[in-house]
Amino acid sequence: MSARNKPAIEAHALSKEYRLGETHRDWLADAAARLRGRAVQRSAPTILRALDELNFTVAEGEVFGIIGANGAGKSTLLKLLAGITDPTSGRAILRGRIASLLEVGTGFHPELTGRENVFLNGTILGMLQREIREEYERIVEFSGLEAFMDTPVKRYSSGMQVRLAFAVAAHLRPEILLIDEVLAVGDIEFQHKCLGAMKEVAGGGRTVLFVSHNMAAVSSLCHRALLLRQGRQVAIGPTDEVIQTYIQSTADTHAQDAAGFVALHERKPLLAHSPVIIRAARMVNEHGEAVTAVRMGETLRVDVRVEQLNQFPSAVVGVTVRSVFDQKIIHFNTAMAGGFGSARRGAKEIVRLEIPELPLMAGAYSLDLLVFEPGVRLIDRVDGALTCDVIEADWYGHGYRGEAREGLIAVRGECRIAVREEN
Amino acid sequence: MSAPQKREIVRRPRRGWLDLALGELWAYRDLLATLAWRNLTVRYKQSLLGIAWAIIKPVIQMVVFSVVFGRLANLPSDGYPYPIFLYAGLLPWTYFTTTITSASGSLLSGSNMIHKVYFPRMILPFSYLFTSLIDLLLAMLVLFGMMGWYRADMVFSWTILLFPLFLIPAVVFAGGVSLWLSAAAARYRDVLHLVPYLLQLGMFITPVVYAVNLLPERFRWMLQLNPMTGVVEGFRWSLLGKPVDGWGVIFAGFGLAFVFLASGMIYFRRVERTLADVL
Repeated sequence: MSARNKPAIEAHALSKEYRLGETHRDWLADAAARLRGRAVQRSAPTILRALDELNFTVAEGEVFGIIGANGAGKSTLLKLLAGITDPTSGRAILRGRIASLLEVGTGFHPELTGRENVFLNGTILGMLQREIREEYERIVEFSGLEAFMDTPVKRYSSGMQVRLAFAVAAHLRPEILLIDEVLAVGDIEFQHKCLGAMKEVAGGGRTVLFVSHNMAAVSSLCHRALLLRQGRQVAIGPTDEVIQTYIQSTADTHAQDAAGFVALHERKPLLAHSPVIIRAARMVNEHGEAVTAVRMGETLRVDVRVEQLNQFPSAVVGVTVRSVFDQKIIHFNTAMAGGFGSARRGAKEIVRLEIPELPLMAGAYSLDLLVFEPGVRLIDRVDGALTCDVIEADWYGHGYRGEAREGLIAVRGECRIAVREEN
Repeated sequence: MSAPQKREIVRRPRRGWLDLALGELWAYRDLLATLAWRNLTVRYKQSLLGIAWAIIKPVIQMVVFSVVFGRLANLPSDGYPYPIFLYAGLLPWTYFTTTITSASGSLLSGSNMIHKVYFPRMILPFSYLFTSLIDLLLAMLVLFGMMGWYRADMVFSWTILLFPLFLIPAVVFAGGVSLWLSAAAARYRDVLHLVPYLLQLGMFITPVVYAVNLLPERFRWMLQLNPMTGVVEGFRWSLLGKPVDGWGVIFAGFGLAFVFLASGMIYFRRVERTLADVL
């Protein structure tokens, strides 16, 4: 029986449950309560289904993305596949040598030198001593830390630690690689290097499972993707389609009222003892009607319903426009518009922010709302509070319709033939 | 480098209680060695005397105990000079206590690794078995020195070659106890508070600072059933030539050490199933 052509990973009704609440009974307290003749009060444990009957296969050599909001079960799925924790029911079959990279630098010890940590971290990740010795020179070269290999890691900057850790990880040679959010660290230059290393891994015929919030990385690395929402499998298929589904689905998660306001108040306050200031928000057109889209080059209007903003006299209300790839593209706030002047502030207000001539190409965007004291502190923030579709329009006036995948920022320009080079 | 036949791994809810996964433990021996080496390196990093502490600590203890128990309390030492009698017993006992102390908290201190990487979790407590073994072998050097010093008082024989054999029950018993305590401590932190008292109690029921014949003959078997008694007596027999009676009970004690190891493995594997969730 040959393993060839069998999928590298198969999941069959894979599920994981966690019991929430009391994990340990305090038997001493129970006994004391019983002595005093009181019934022991204990709420029945709540069962959280972190993963609910997942079924999917990943072919050998495929790079497979897993996306979803925080708490959707992405990391739990990787932990099950890696064997860190067992499923509650169902099963997964993996064919090949597995390495998991759920964190860079697992087991790094601050007292040990860079060289010692390379060996420690490498064996923890499943390499043999012999393999590390063979790769050692390349690992050090990749990290760019040749001069610091005999220095204890505790004297490294956090950036240097990440470099060294990723250098080890990039030289793992498993057949199946499970990766969680490791690109979110380090400076831009190093991130590019890591992305390059990841692409090399992906191209090398290895099967890769990749969890990330960075949609740009997912879309450029992965052939197919799986979308999870609250532990359930929502979509599976070509990466770009699944990413689109994900963006639309995040819009559906907030409830709307009759005036088109999306409720945002059911959150914990960002600061202890401070109110949840941002209560609701909507986008409106020039007639004050709630909308979910705006045409290219037109005015973006955002209404933010706030409460008790008057407790923070110097606070500023702002909106940040993000791309599908989670990059912040535009930030605009009330201080940039000159503030509210001497208008008296009430406990409940609707603040309107307007950005005329929205310079964005057609595509899906999301809006973060925030309240902060400039240079002092963040008071309240809702990431992805609203989604905003920028609809294509003949903004250029020549019939060409720009799309976000060509570039995010819309600009008008000119062209002419500068030099005519004849023969 | 890839094998033609790929290894198939199935992740599913674990059942049964006799799946000890010994093959996997062997496959991860490189990690065991690396962690044992890490424990040792970290223990002596940024200290002036470094690994010399492995010798200094038991020597200091020997001096203090010799004064207190040998001179002041006048405990019996079977006619041997008290310091060497004591030191020969102190070595395996120190091995046992340092192993247990560090191994019982090993799952908690290694929890970051447990959450992020898969490996047979037994490797964590087991790694300390070998770290302490290196300490023990270094401290042995002093014992050989003392044997030279006291050679006029003793007769040495071929039995010296047999002392490594008595390391086996010591490692097995320490391994078994470490598995029980580390797994229990992962569930109930209370265990960590108890460990120092258990070890203190252990020193009273192991003839480290006194000789077995301190006890009336009909009670001695209880002492000898303690696997560490067998190890201590075995060290003194092989190194100092001290006669031992009751080998039968001592070997029964060694059997008990293996029972501890086997039952510890079974219990540990049970706890291991939910380890990443409870830790």
